[in-house]
Amino acid sequence: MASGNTSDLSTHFNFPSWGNYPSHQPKDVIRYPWSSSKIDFSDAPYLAYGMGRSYGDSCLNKNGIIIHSSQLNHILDFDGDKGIIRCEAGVTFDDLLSVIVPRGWFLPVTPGTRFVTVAGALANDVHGKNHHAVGSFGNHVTAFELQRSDGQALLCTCENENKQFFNATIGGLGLTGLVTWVEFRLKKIVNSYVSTSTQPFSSINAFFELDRQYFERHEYSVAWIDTTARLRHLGRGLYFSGDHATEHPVAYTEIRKKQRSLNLPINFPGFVLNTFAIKAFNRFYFNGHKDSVGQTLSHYSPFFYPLDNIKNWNRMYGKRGFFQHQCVIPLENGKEVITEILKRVSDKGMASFLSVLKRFGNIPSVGMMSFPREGYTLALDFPNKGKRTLAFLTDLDELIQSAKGAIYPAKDARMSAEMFVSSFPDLELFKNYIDPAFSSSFWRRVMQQQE
Amino acid sequence: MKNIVIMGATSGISQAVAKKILADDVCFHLVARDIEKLNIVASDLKSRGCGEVVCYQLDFNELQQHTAIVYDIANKAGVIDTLFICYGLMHPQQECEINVDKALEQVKSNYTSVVSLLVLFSQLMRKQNAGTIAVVSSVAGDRGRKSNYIYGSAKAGLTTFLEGLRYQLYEYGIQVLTIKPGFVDSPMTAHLKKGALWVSTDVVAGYIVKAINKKKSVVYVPPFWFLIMAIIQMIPVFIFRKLNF
Repeated sequence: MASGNTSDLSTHFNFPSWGNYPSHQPKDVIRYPWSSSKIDFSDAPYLAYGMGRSYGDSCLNKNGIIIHSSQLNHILDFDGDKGIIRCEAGVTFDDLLSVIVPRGWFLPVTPGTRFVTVAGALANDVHGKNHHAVGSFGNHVTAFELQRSDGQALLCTCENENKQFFNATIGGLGLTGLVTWVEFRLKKIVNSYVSTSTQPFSSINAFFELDRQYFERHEYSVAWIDTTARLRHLGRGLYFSGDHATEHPVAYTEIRKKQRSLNLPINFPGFVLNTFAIKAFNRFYFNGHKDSVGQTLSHYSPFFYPLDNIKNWNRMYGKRGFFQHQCVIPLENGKEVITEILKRVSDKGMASFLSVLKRFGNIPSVGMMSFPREGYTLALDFPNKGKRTLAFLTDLDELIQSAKGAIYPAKDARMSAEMFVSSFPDLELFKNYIDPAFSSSFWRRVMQQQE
Repeated sequence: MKNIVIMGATSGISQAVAKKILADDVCFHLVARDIEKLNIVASDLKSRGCGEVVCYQLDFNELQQHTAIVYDIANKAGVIDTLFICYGLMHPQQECEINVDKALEQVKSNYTSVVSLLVLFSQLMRKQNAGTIAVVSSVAGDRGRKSNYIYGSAKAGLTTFLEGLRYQLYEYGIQVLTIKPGFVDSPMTAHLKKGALWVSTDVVAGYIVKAINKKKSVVYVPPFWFLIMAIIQMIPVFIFRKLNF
């Protein structure tokens, strides 16, 4: 096992991204050996792959080698008093929650799914509903080990050690080498519940008004937008906010109602998720919630991970997959640009199934390539209808670029090289820290290199 | 404290089983060859909230060391509540067919060494009049197949040994569980092609823990393998010899 378990997993397992587009197969798949036996990195390019929850091609490595992190699933240390945890790269948030919540701790930052690995969270510097309060995941990382292809194992810390590699690797899309373990700070909680409130708003202007009032009042906040609503209802939606419950110290046990978990075993045929279905869903969702104003106590699971109960929900988009499009627009022109995007979506009848709007706070990200920055971030998803969808998204990008906005690589499968460059001002600095044996389909695309 | 001994603690199935049964009143005695991996598993279990972990380094093929290790464990544990044996070696069959050392090594690690451990442990556990011995054998022992009969014969021997041991220890109140996994996606099988029948170590561990709790004697994991093996055993020889598996 000196050079990892070389196997022909690649020919028997699919390694897709979550959007099922594009479909790029690696040449081989190896599992990272979880002892000191090392990979020799002689057969570049390499890329680590965890849960495959990146939507586009940032987790794909066409004709390259994927290093699967499934055996790196050990928690190396958990200080239950200080709330610091150190775990191997492939440990998932799902796994961690089952360990830390019963002992009174929570993830400092979590994306909308618990099925991500800690190294994936680090490489994409993921953000959550509490960005305005605590920043992104990288802000809570204290240390990690970076395995470089030249054989060095760099200890990178938030203090001083290998600080440049620390900043390059957080949000660095897995290109700076292989992260083998990550250490980060947890958040203290009293129980596993969240005190939440839901407020409907009738238009995009009403959202900005609500956000002005509620921004910073709650630890978690996010808005869902009905992108099928038009004219005076344009941008209507629901404003969700929440805080970890402090009363009812329901011991520290994870009391969870037995929830039905649904699995989509196969891809839906392409016609299922048509415009009509998306419209119906959006109406239904808005009307279903618009009267449920007020405070409730919710278990953390449905609050943070509403879609995790439907396994493989991405299959509802069918074989052709779907595009996610997440941008951030600086505060100064946020209102106008977000309104314009929503107008275009509704005018063109591009109906997005799930659309989420949130204001990022002003805590600076630590990563050179981190996506989160102060402003409004809007996430949309569109079924892949080929050229029509692509052209529409390219138009949106132009608008975003002229507003000095940025696109989130973890959700991207199609942005132009130009858009990428303008999204990340520290790109040139970042390039110095890329490991020559690592690359991804995303990187080759935005750098306009040959596959 | 409940004492749980795991022989082959770094195997994929062992790790998954340990995670399922860990609790703050459980003390794990972990035995494996690779001390570095063993320490990682130990810190994982401790971080997940298990009571205590003691590690022992042993190359299972070094039979002369078995007695010392077994007595060491017994001294530290006092009472052994559960003994879980889960290690194995699978060389490609073609290599064993032409290399007698490899064939014998396969038999030694899958059968002889397990017999050695079981004899030693069962003597000690008999005095307790309680406990569980759970051993991972394989569906490969249910019928000799041309593609895998050396590994299969070792597992067949193990299955028969366990059956006898079960009858003998019955009167001492000791459960002997034979576990027969089908295709498990684990480090041992990393070199094999995977198909629809393959399951994760986590799924396998779930069935194993259930079978231990239910005091079962033999368990196929997943259970559909019982049916598959029942059918395979019924295939007449004149057909079976034409099959290529």
